[in-house]
Amino acid sequence: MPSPWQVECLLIRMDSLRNEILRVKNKDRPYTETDIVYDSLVAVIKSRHDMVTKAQKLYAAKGTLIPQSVFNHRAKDLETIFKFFSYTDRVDSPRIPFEVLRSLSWVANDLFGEKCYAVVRLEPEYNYAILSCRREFERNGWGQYWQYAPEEDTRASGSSDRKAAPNVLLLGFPSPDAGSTLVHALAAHEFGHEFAHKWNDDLTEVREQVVSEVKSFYNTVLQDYTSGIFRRQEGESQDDVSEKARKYLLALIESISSSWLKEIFSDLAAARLVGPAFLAAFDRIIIGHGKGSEKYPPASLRRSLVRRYLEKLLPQVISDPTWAQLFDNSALVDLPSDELFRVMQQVFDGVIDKLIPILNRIPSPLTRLKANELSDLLETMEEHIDNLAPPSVPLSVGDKLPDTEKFWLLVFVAWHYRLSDRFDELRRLCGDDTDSARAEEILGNLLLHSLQSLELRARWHEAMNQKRSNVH
Amino acid sequence: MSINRYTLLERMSAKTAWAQRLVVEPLFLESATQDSVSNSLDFHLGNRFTILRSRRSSQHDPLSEDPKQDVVVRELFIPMGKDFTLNPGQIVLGTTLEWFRFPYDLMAYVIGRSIWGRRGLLIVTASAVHPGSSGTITLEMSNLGEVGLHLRPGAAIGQLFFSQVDMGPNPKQRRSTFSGALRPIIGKYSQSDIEKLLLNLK
Repeated sequence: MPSPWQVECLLIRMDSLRNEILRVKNKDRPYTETDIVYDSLVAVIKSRHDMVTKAQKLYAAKGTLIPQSVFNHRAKDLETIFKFFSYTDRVDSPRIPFEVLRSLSWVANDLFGEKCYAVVRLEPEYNYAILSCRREFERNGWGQYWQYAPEEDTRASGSSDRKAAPNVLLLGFPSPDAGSTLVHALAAHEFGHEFAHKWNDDLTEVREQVVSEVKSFYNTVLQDYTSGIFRRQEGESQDDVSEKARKYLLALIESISSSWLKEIFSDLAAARLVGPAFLAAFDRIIIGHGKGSEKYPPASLRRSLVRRYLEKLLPQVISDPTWAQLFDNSALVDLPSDELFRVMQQVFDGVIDKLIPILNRIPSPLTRLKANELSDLLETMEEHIDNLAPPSVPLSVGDKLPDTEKFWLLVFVAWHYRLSDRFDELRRLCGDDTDSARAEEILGNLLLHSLQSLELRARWHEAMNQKRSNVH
Repeated sequence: MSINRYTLLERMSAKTAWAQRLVVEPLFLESATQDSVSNSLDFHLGNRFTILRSRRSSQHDPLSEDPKQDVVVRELFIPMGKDFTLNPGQIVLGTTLEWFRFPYDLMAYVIGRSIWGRRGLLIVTASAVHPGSSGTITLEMSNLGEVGLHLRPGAAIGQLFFSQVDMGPNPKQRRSTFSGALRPIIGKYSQSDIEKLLLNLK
């Protein structure tokens, strides 16, 4: 049982973390969407603090100390809260292209059919990631605390009842590339993870099929896979060891299949939204760790699947020679040395057809336009970039292509331009034929400005329509 | 010759050749006819600001080769719906919300709106925008009044008056440090050959 002193230490730690969260919340920050996270974390701390003090009184009345299990649970909560808080504590750097956040939130609202705020934090690791804060709260059993703070609510409605707050999508961005707008094409992949969560039941069915296929290799290839891991202990029969190894391997197959399927589904979702531009941004991030792991499929498998999916989805786009350089290495040649990964790769290679019915629910701006319409629009938008004008200018709002989907179209065009010969011309215009950085910065600025302008124009269009309908 | 808004709208048409085309993005006009009577084009305040910070040395020297002698800045992003206070005597760099792409035969003068000027806000010191330039326009904003001024991104803070210029025999897209810029950049002083000579005369 924890001593009274240890319980006091736990309560003091809760207080200090609460104060730290409030200090960060009250700092001068560029945007306040993370207030929802801070307020909700403070509410969790308060509830845990109350639980401990109540338990302290209850057990003191019985003349005993708090049970170890209660203490451990609350200590674990504190650790999780601290970790969660650290995710949202690096969101204020002028290098972050904040302009994209409103547009990303606008797009996310439309895609997921719920109010979302997109927030960017700088990742210490070279990775692009997403954390759905409300979902994470639910996973930790804190769902009821994901709410507006009472004072926020009182200000809004004059009521003291707490209301559920919008979701906060925390996008982790690699710190060295914080200023790069082009890399935000990977937001399409991260949004794919949100879809994977939304359609988890359908994906589970696919995963079960995959797992059963992988298991079919057990007797032929995988039986010896675990032989080096499990050694016979004293009193164990060979059958015991084999059973232990079999169970371990099957659990590993389940876990890898689940992680790989989510990644592959998200890759293909990104391909639906931004086409081959996803692979271009993927190449920026994946350098050096593309061999695959229990969490991530090998890069060669991912590239190969994206290519095959695009061949089905956008044959006219993929035949464009500008994208060809992305597919030079997309054949499945880089087979991993690990036997299990090799089998998994073989099975996952055939997963596309199983995923297509689920993927078809995601809108694809690139398929909404006819091939010639897309090609004409691409030419016009690239002509704008050639002339240092934002490529959003020729996109009118309120037409047959939903405005939020034009966000992805702009990302697609920017990457097409980056990989085309026209980019060399932009480099020359910037005064340096060899250094891509300055030209890419300008291209990124044009894209960022376009994404922001698109959203503002769409809102203006809506406001004008509203005004007109009020007049009539 | 100052250009009226009707002609400016024609210049923005997709049918106009790039050599003469003006681009303003985003462009918020309620209707082309209503807005075509004026001789200027309003612009709005953007989200990025650069504040000049005080430092250990009591003055800064932009001509010095040593970057430590130059001004120290801090960049701020103020989202839509939030505000920023410009204190009396403070200078801050801001940008336009709009991206302007100027053709080779148009230039513009940046002029503050009187509604702000009468409250002490000066929005620009280098007021000419050259032909062929492209990007958001950097504003050098200063509060000449005696009390703080709240500035909000999206506020119609100034206007551009356009003039036609002689293109010359070989017009080119303007190349400058600020081409394609989105953020308010303080810029590095670049000495011309004549300046180098004059500044080093003993």
